[in-house]
Amino acid sequence: MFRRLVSACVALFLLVACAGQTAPVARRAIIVGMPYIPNVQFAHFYLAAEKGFFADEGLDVTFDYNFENDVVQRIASKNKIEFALASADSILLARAQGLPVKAVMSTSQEFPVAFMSKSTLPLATPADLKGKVIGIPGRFGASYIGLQALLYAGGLTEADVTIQEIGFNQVPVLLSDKVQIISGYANNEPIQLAAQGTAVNVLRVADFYPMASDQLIVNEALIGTEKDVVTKFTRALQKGMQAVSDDPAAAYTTSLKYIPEAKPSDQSVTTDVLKATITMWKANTSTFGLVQPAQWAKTHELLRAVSALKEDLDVSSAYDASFVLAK
Amino acid sequence: MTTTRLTVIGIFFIAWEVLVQSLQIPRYLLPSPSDIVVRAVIELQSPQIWHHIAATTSVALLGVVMAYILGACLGWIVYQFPYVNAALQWFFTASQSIPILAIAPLILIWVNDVFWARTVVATLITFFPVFSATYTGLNLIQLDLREVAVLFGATRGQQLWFIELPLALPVMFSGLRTSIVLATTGAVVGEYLGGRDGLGALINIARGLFDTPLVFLAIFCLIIITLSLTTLLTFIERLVLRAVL
Repeated sequence: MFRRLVSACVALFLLVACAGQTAPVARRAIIVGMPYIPNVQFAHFYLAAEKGFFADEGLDVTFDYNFENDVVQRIASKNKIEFALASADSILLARAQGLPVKAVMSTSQEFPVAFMSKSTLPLATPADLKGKVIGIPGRFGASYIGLQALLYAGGLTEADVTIQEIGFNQVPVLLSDKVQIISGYANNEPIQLAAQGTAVNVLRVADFYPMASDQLIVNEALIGTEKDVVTKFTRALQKGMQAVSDDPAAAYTTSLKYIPEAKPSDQSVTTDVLKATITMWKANTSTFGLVQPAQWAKTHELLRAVSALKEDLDVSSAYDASFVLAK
Repeated sequence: MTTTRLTVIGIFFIAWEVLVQSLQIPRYLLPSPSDIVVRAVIELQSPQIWHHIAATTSVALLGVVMAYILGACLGWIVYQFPYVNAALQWFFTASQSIPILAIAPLILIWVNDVFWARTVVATLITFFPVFSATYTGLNLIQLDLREVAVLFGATRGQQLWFIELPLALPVMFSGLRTSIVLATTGAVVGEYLGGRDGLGALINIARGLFDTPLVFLAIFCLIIITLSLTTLLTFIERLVLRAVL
């Protein structure tokens, strides 16, 4: 009798204990389409993953790398990626072709493209581009848009300069004097060149034509069906940006896990690149990721002026600024 | 034969159109043939696309010619001098495993001229089939034929002109046919990595604008270039072989 009582109590205890346990909540699997290759400029994503910011929001995030146009098309086709990075001009061009992509967060407050010349060639304003031989990868992408923005801002046209399409060989082409000016990213090439002992003059597009920059994008359908996922992801990414800003050196070390090809000897240069990137994140605002409608309007104005867009677009439909609110 | 070919092509395009329309596939993912035709009607009225077609065709043709001269000469040398074959065979084989995408940007810097850099890329891609076909064609010539020629006092040059070339030509032409297909690919690879002109550059521009119908139009232009060059080669082959054999 006593044994039966004890057995019943144990069984009851186990029953109650198990009932009190909740099954572990499955995290929402997320794939983020990153442009091109792993890079320290994506440190905010890597830190958000490593510090558990994504996990805290119930998200299981992996990164996938492609060319920028390809990630935009994958987002549009709902091809298994939920988020991606793309420039604002790409988003407008994509929407003009019917791709249902939308920006939900601005990962940089400044258009990153800049033009560089050797220190012996003055380059301080768009007017200094006149008559020069300028090397860009091709008549596509951010470099070409950046050049068009500077020409537009300076009252110049492509006929006032000589454009050479040099592929992705900017630095060696400049160093070998095959062109006078090259394009690059303000937070990258100038730092790399300085590290090699080559002083350059830098003309930043953002200083003369403040366009919208790189954006976190989603398929419009995701906002409709899983708005909470978008909210959680942007929140986690904002924390990642803050964490990088608080300790760039630690952010670099953490990023190495995602960039195994980076050499330890690169740390000084790469940390400088990261610091320059952080400066772009925080330009003109104290809120990481803020979407700036005025910058989008400038982007649209440029694309119409250079006939990249054949018709006016409803620019405000290209972004949703509700996920990141100004502090 | 032509009717069958045209019928198959027609069925292919009709099936494609039906597939896109019935599944409502967005144009930016897979344009229908009618989308591409609409785009073609607009673009072909502009001189720009003809400029791109001419640029790619000229690079592809020049690449084939250079590859033919280089490949045929090296193929003959390797055939004539076995020790050269022994020394360089590994090199020729290894060269085919080099990803041209990796070195094409460097070629663009080394050559310092966009047109010739692309031509070098096209030549590198098309060289090996010609070389291999020449070497194979020469090796297929029966030994006793050469021995008889030597017996009758044929000089080295006479052996080459009257025996080796005529008998190796059919195989060499098959290598050339493969090279033509590769040459347009080679031209596009070079254009894709840098430059203003050519269908590869046009594809880059079209991708940047998310203009998938234009991408496909460029692809069809490449197909037509390749088919035209192959047809021209077939005509030349018949003329040459009829005259020589």
